[in-house]
Amino acid sequence: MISQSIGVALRSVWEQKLRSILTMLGIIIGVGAVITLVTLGHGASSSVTKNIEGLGSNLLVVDVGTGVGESFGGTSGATTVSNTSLAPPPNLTLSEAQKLGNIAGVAGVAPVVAGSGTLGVGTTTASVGLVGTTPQYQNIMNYKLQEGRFLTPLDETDGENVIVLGSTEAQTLFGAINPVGDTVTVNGVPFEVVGVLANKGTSLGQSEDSFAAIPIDRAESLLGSTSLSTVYLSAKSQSNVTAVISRLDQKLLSWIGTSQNFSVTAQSQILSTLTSVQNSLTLLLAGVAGISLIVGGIGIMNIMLVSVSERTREIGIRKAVGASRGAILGQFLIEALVLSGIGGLLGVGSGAAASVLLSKSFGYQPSFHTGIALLAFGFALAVGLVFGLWPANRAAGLRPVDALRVE
Amino acid sequence: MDQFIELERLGKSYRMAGEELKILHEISLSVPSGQYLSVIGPSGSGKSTLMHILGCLDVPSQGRYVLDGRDLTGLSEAALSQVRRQSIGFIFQSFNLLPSLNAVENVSLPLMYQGIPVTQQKERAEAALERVGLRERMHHRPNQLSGGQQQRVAIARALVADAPLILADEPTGNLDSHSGEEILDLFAELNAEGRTFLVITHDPAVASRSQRIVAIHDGAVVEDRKVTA
Ligand SMILES: Nc1ncnc2c1ncn2[C@@H]1O[C@H](COP(=O)(O)OP(=O)(O)OP(=O)(O)O)[C@@H](O)[C@H]1O
Ligand SMILES: [Mg+2]
Repeated sequence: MISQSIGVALRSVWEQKLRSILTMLGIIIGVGAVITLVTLGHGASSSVTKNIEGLGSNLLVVDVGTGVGESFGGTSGATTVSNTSLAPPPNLTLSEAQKLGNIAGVAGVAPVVAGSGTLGVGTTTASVGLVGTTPQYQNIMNYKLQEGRFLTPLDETDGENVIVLGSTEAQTLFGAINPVGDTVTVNGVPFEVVGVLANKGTSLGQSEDSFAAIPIDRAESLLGSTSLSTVYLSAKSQSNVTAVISRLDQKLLSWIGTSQNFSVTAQSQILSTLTSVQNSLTLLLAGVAGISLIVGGIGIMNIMLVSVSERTREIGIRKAVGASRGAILGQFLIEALVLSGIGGLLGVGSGAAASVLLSKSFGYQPSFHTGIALLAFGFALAVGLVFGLWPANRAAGLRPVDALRVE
Repeated sequence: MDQFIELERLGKSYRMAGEELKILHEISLSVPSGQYLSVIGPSGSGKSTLMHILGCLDVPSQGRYVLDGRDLTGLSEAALSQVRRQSIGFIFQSFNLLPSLNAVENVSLPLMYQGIPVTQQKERAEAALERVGLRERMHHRPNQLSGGQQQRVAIARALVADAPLILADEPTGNLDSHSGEEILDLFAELNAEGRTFLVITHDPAVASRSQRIVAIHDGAVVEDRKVTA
């Protein structure tokens, strides 16, 4: 009886192909959108996570400058300062920065003097970000070498002009040739290329391979700057990052005087902030898609109501030959479930296809979440059931004589 | 005598715009099992209304309806649908077949609602169609059949569940006289097998094929006579 009812329902869905498809469209789009958006959301957050983890494990960033502590960052409670412009420009010297490395829990320290410069090889020039730093930079920032070596402690003491190129710069200036041993000019001053970094990709939309590193004292003289803008540090372990941050805060506060002019940020904090932003975004989008599922349900209800009034006579005939109220209720409910079920299946199919295609084009790991697919499909069925109930009940409640007298 | 149908002062009224509209007035009628009865009367006299009540498609406003010894007055819709399923076969003027189903499927419907297994449904439906002479047309849809053939499919549907009472409302109303005759011949045969027939008609020729004629006018029985062959 049940299987026969499903047969009857499938048949009436089939007989009104166009109408059925249009009815199912809302469900198809809803289910497809939920699956696609959730999959893309997961893809985005896992790729962001991977990117950020790639920046350096247990990375801490100290930024120094007027007002930097007021914005996003991980500084401890604000100290009130009436007027920042009256305060002397904040400054952190190289030796002070190196002292941060002695703080308990800090594994490495890499002060950075950053600026831009022009690299030249023959007639080829490229404008790049110059990073004046110390040997520990490589480990703290998680760079691997493609060729040669990174800066060494020796480079800091013997005053040689050496430079390590990011993979993009090496490609731009030298193409496929191994540049190690060659000379490039930095703002006109010749430097010997000692190494090329391996490709690391992008993080948060920024290339991490487009810069050149030189010893920090060379950068100071080249850029005419003696103040450090950024110090990168690595914590010994992920678990004591918070303690290290507060020790850094204290130290810097005693040197600089106001927490508004420096900030200490942990990679893990950025990660968790971003993850939670991503998660709420995914949730929001899935919610919007969920609403379209409900709209799809209303579409089903609408069509079912039309169908009930069109088929009043059929209902009368069925009742005359012995159909009970329950049998009619079942018939129309099954029809609603068949519509939403087929719609749900098509939605899962199109959602999976869209997920794979879009993941590929965004460069995410393509993934398919069975749980989400089941959930969306189940929700579609539930929507069909809920919105099918009223029309089905209306059909079942028709009095046989009224149904038969309708022309 | 064993009365199959007993109506006692049966009445039906509708409330229209606050006014009570009496369609049937205290109809009392007894029909013995196996009788072939026709009900005649002018249009609007309440013949179909009476048939709907007899067929448990509608409920009376007053009076008592006893079918095969069971008082059906005041039964729930669920109980009435069971009576329809087990005891009553309908034949309508406009055939009332489902257009999307073929002959066998239309005839199977009453069996489906009795919960009979699909293979048996098919066997019995085919047998019923054979009984009405439509062996060759089993897989035709209603729109591929003539009016007379459609009405025979409807008769097969009324027979298939072995209902003891067949109610027919103007069964020949949409047919030419030849196919009408064929239908009436079939009625006579089926009645001879013991089924009780109640046929509503305008047509005196149709009424004359029955054993008894009840005439109603304005919802009341005005004449009740035996047909003498
Ligand atoms: N639901 C209803 N509400 C109000 N009046 C109704 C309703 N159904 C039927 N009637 C009235 O009941 C009366 C009898 O109708 P019925 O269909 O029984 O007549 P009939 O004898 O079968 O006529 P015909 O020969 O034309 O088929 C009619 O006057 C009709 O208008
Ligand atoms: Mg009538």
